[in-house]
Amino acid sequence: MERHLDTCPDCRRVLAELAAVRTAAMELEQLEPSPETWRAIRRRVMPERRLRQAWIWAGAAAVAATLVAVVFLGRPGPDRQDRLAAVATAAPEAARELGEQYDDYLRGIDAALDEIRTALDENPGNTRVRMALYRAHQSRSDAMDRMVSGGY
Amino acid sequence: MANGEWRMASDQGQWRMANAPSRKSRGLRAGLLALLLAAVAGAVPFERAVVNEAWCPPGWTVIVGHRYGSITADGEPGRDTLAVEARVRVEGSDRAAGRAFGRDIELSLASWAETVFVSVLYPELPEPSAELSWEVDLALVLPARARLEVANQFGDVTCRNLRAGCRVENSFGDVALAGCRDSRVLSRHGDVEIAANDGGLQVTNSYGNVYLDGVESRARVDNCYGDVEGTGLDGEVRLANVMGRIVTRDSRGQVALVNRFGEVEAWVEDTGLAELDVQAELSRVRLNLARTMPFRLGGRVFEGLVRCGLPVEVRDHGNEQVVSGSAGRGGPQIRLTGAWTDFDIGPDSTGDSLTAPAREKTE
Repeated sequence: MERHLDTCPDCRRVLAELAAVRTAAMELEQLEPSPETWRAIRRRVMPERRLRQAWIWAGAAAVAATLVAVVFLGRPGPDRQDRLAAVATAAPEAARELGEQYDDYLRGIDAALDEIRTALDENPGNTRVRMALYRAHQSRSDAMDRMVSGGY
Repeated sequence: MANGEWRMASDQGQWRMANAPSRKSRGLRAGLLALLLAAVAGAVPFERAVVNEAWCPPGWTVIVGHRYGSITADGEPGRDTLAVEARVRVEGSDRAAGRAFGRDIELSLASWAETVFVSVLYPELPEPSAELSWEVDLALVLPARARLEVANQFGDVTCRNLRAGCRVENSFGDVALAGCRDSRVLSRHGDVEIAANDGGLQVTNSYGNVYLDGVESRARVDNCYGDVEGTGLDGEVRLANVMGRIVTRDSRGQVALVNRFGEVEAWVEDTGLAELDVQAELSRVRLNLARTMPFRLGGRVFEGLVRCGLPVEVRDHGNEQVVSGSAGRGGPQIRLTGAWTDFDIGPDSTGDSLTAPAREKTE
């Protein structure tokens, strides 16, 4: 690894960025993921093992669509159950739109990271630039956490 | 004087902020990080202040192009010059190279065609082994009736009492305007705070929050990936957001709120509010109407639910719900348009309550 770093400026740059982020991150309080995060990951992983069976596909899709509806529309009461059928039908489209919006969000973050890296090449120790780098990585991490949790 | 509040100074009719809201902790963190980094690197910063001044009567324009530092601009009535102070700070493992670099940084004020151009001129960078880093903070004092245009990166921009228009373009930093007129802000990756703005206001922001307090006349905010909060809006105001919240209260005039993939919460508590137009898609809306507030309400919600604790009619119409009703005489005209959105209306509505900004009314 060290021999490679001696000859590879790109990897040296990435290592410097990670060191800067780690330094800034050590200043922050420790946060634990919410329990919902792990439940959401488990929900995503478990259905994939059963996707070979067509009837499980249908059931998982219906549950996922209902979850999307619940996330978007709040806790359902007895007077809203008749709407869930219509929502579940259209929920894939809503989920697709939300996914596209997250993609746009992440593209903006990645573009910001490119700008910040260019600034770090010019002004490597500038505190504001390093804080911008940390915040951009944090925003990306927060967005991924929200996506996994099923929220926005 | 509470933290974060803008108050009129008693002597010159100018707005001053009691304390910098929300940016304090980030500034403290940045300062602690700077100290930590300096201690680890064994670097001692080189600091220097440079001042310059130029003739700039009211009606002229000041243009600032800058990066790696903050900018503050204060408008003073009755002034006919522009004064600029640049605070230079250079750090690096090679202290001699840092001192030489810092000493050769110049502050340029160039005048042409009733415009003063402000820029920082840097000498040639030394060898990369010097590992220099630098920042230059600019403080401007200019005529209140001079127009200001600022383009900045990696720093905050603060403008106060600029009455002839200001245009701020900033990224990777916060923007704060107070007591300004006819303002335009284009910002990315930072918050925008506008207080006591009159004339026109246009804010386009992303990856940050927008806070409005006491905005009069025409105002348009387009934000995404952050929250928009407005208090004391008065005039023709349109707040649009994507993937964030919109919260408003103490609104008057005509207010339009548009949101997608977010939440909207609005308080209707002033009979000076003539129109409230809420458009939401894949969102949740909470409308808080005071019990004694007269109103006229109408709207359509596609594939959503309207829950209302007030005497209005909610009818199912296929996969739409149509709401209509009124109470008292006059009052604001409220229009609701939604798709895949739930609306909670009135003080007795059920459902989760969104966060309400604390507010103390003074009679």
